[in-house]
Amino acid sequence: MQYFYKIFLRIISILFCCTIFFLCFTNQALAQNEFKEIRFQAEEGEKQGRYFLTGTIKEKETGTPLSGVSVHIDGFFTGVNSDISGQYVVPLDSGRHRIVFRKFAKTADYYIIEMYGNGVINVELNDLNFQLDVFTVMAEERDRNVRSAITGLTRMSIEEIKLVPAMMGEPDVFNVLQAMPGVNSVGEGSPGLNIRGGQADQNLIMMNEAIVLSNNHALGFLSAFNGDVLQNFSLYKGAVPSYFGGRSAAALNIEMRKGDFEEWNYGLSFGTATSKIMVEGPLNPDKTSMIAGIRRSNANWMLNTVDQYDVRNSNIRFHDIYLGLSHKFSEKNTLDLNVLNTGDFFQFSNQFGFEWNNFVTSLTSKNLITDNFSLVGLLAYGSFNNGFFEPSQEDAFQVDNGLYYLQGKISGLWTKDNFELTFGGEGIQYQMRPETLSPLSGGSGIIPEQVSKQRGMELAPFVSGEWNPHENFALTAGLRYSTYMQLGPDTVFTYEQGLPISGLTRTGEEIFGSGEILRYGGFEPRVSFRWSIDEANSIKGGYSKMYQYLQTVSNATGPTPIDLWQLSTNYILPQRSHNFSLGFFRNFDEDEWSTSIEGFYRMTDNQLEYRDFADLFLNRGLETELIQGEGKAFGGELMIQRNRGALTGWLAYTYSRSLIRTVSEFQEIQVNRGNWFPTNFDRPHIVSLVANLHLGKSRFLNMHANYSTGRPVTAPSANYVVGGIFIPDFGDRNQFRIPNYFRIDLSYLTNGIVRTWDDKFNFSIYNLLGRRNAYSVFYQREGMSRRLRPYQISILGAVFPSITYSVNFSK
Amino acid sequence: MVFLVFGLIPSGCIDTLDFGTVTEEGQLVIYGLLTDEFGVHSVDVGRTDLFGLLPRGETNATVVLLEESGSSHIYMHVEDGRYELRDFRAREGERYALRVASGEQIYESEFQELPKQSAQQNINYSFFSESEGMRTRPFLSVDADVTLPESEEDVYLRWTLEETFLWVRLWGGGPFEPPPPNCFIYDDIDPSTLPLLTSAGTGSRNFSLNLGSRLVDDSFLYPFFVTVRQLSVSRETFEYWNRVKQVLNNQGSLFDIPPAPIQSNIRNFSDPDDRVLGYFEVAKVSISRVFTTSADVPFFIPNPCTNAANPPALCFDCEEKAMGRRWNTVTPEWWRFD
Repeated sequence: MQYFYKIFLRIISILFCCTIFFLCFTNQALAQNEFKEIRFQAEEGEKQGRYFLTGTIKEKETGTPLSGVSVHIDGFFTGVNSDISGQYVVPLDSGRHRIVFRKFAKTADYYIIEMYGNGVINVELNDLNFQLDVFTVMAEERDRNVRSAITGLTRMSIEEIKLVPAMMGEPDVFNVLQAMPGVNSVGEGSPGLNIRGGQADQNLIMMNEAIVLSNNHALGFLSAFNGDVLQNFSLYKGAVPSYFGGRSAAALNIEMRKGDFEEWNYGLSFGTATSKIMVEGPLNPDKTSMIAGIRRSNANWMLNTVDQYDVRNSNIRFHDIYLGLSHKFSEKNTLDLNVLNTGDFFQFSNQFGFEWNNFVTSLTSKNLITDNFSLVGLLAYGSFNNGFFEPSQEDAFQVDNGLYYLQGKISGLWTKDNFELTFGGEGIQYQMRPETLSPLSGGSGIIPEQVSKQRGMELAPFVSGEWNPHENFALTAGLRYSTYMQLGPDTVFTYEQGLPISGLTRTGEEIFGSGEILRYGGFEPRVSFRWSIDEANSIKGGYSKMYQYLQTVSNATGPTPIDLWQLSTNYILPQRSHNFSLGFFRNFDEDEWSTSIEGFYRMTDNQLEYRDFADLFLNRGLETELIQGEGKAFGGELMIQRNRGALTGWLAYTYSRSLIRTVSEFQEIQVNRGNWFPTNFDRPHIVSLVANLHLGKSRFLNMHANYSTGRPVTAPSANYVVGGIFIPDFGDRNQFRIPNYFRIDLSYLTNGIVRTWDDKFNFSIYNLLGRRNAYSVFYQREGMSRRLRPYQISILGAVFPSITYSVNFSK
Repeated sequence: MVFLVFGLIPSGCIDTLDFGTVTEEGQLVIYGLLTDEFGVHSVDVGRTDLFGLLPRGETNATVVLLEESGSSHIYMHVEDGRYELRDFRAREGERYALRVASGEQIYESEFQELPKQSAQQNINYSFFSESEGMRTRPFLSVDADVTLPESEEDVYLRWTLEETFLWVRLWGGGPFEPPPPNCFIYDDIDPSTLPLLTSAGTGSRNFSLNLGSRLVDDSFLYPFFVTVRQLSVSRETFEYWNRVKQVLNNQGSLFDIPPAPIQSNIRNFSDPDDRVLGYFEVAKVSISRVFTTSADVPFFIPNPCTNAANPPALCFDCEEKAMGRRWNTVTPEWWRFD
């Protein structure tokens, strides 16, 4: 009890400090947008759970029908646009909805509708050409910041993602996320996101709710999600709803676009680093659509220009292919097929190399069963393989790893007035592929070796309810019961009692046949609330408990594409986290400005850490190289965002700590003697500034500045001589920090050269200042001297410019 | 624009860093090597000094070699923390441990057996040059062709290189004074290269590996010998050196194993928190020697002692030439050129 009291006090103190700052910083609140309220009522006896909203959109001054007007419902773009005659049709669940009609260079039109019958809204939009300086970049409603019921939720569309300058000029989800508060990474060229002090593997990353385990290209500079086929993303970093589970920190769902049901569109893109092709259109008009996107790197020519033999002889390439098929059986029943295939290859000179590939496919069925009840079913298959190789040695070798999984999920949604109930179940079966060592060439003397890996199954029924008893209050509460079973056949080692488990204390092995070997599980309550003080101010809080049974094992500085995925076993216990968050949200000037302050605290049991000099590959007793412990992460986030005007963007500041201590009865295997120490990604201060200057005529000048505290490293505290060798003696793990990080990126988006085409140029400069931001530190003798000298290594030590030309055609 | 793109590509990403760390002084360091080579076996005992400096020798320690059969042998202190056991060799089948008493604390290593196997080796050398900016630097490279024994038991090997070169002093005395004896100067070659090889996990038996390289200078004016010691060690000792190598070769890249303290096999059994640095190893040794003379060196080597009006002190004094390296004036018994 005292423990929870301490946590509560810590959250309150963080929030108090933030609130003081917040109140000093701003002192006014203005009214929201003007929403016109309309009620549609069906005749008695004709009531349904789902109705259609239709209408025509015209230009107010001329009466000309407007095509391409986007229809936003409850804060999100639905994918519905008005057609060439200005008409639109949107199916809506019964109840209260906020509808906004938007088109570039037109004033938006706002409605609150109570949908208890089919309805028609005809809209007339004003021209905005005389006030282009009030351009809006927010895809979601600007007041969503204040009104959404879930704390720690970040949503963004591809249009916004494109406005953040990125490496290689590619609009990238992970790049944008790292500009948001609470999200960072170990360093440049390091895959994975660290969200609110969590490890990269503690994030559940999904594509249309199907799990994606490998999600990066080019050693982490880009995500695996092609911007051409991406719709939007939702990041749950505070309270994760109960219909998501299996990871202990956060959930990120990336929605991919559906193909156009009415016309064929084509997109081509050529850049200095990547090239892309996109095709979408109706296979059967209004019934079946497809979308396909292919992206391929062409960065090797850049390596060839570098005046270093090893770099010039290196090879980096990647590709991703996405295919989406959507079929409408009726307005009530749809079926979507999504396929994502990614591949990466990296070889450094003839010394070493890595390759990894990923395949995820999912089938999603959405069915409206009754008027107020719908079912969504998901069936997914994923496969991930990775390998590293060393071709230069006499015994050239390759080590391969991987796993595949089957995921099934069914969820029902029942709505009634101010209550929404989601319930269902999820099951995932994991099968690790055997880890193999094989000779890379005919002359290699490597003896092929194979280490078998585990199987496991995760089952979780869940229920979640969202209750809006009053306009000013919303409560989301859910419960998930997760169960994990390690499945046979498998061999489990036994170790001597009273000694730390190691290769030397192994006493034998126990062989299990098919069936269950062990079982873990527990309830995972999730709660989130929103209390609106008024239309411009709200307070949100949340709590979630989460279990994690699949984790990566690595002893590298940060996550790598070749990290081993490891299921929970007798010796590797599942992670369990308690996540608390509380935030204050306030908007100004009719939502022109949205601001927020959030605090978070997370405790994690059984967080994995590697022992010193852990030997992870081809190790049958992987547990002997690992140690588990307690993790804690806490901090506060401040976000100030401008949503309208010629200059939009945001300023985000995060104070975040991420600490761990190993727990073992055996002192000799404890890391730092069992004391708390910072994780590799503990970066207390992170500041991001994103600015988008709209210059008119679809031209944008964008800037992203990022500052963060240097990450922890391990440094020597003494040196000694053994056999004539000057050896540094490294002290406690992660007790020092590399220099602070600072980077500015710029991009300029403009129309292309052919007036009649829909073409665009993207000029990007990554690391404008050419700053050599340290990635890590190492020690080496200087010349013939015996003294050790520290050196810093930078992954990207110079300005990185890129140009991309893209063109879209419609038929 | 194309020029801009080409011109801004990075060319290098490693910089020196002013990076302060806290120095931990006074930690005990013990290193001992016992081989089956008859002669002198030494143990160094010292304590760490400020970071970047050599450890200080511990002169008041008592160092004893323990045999599992019950015998013990005392090492004698010779200089600055170096203790020597003379006229001794490790025997096959026996297990040895080291005991060091320093102050009131007693430190002991684990018992180790002398390995039985070693590998055949053929040593050769070559010269090469490396460009460093505007200048070129010549080097001697020592390589080995190694054939591992056909055996079910794995063999674990490491190598050390020692150079011995002759330095002929100028004679400034009268006709009746005998010329001064020649200097023989000894030093380790490139110990940080730390060549390691094991048969574990491979079916290959023949390997070629580089053992180290050495800058060519006026040490090569006269015969220059390289003594190659192949040390066959235990798996644990091999792992220790492998970890040393990992720490020394850490380049800070994403894929490097983060550095960590290297555990010694020497412990203070009465105080487990008293961490000892260093190692005690027992090795079966195979020795090979190669030599080169100035006639072999494909580079011009200026002699500082000829054509100089005032020859420098090193032309007359072995100590000056040795510059802190070991030296004597006794011709080694293996100093033969045929």
